Amino acid sequence: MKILLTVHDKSIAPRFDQATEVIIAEHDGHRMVGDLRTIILSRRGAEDLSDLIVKEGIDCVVCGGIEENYYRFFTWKKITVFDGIIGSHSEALQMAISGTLRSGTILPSAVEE
Amino acid sequence: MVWASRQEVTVVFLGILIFPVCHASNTLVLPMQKIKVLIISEEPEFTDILTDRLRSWGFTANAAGGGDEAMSMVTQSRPDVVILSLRSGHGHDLDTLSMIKNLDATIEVILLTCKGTAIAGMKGIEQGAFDCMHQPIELGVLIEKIRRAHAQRSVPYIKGFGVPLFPSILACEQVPELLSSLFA
Repeated sequence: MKILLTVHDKSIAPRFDQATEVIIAEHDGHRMVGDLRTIILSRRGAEDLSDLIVKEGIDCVVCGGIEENYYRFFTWKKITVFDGIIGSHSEALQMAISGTLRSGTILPSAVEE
Repeated sequence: MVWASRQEVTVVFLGILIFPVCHASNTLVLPMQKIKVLIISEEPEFTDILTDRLRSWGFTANAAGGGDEAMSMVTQSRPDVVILSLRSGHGHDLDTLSMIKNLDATIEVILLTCKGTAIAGMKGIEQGAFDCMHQPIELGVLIEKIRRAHAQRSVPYIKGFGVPLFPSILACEQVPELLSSLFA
């Protein structure tokens, strides 16, 4: 299963269309498979990011706020979207892998800040 | 057919002797040296992130917006590797590549292409760019290319041959004849 996280510095990007960087992770249901891949986007924009998500065959997107059109598009494409996530991307990834992440989760790292 | 003068043959032969030493010293010295990378792009956010990420991986990374600023930075800092972003509809972006190569042919240039710049990327390869990558770029792949470009830059060049010494020796089918003429 392939997970994509929209990233800004060390946190999940507050808005899907404002992400400048993404991290792609693969896991077999229990643990990570291979290394994390960091992809730097040449410019901000939901369109290019959506293309990348489809092209990469992503199964799960972890992001902050996302436009409804894109949310619908991904769910129509059978891509799970966890939106409204606030906190560090490493924490969000761990929770996504363990199956405990839910949309709107405010992660402990965000509360500490 | 004699294709090289005796002096050139001597230089090639000395290169054979020197290459293993250079190669060995690179493997010993390079991990302690910071590879100098210059990113040339008109997208400040992109250059900021890439510069930051490359620095965190141990590179000495700087960014320039393009044109004169880029060339003055190349002249001043003499980077090992330049990452040059090509823009659609800006054919003159390749002029920067030509200027860098004219200034110092050993500086390796990696081109970043996007929609509409694939042809420019191919032209760039013909003009001496090390490689081109389509955007968005994967950081791990770019880092690997930068390291390979730097390793290629470290291979000794002979003026007049225009190609790295070691491959030029391998490409020559007349090495035995050349060596025998050297000692004749």
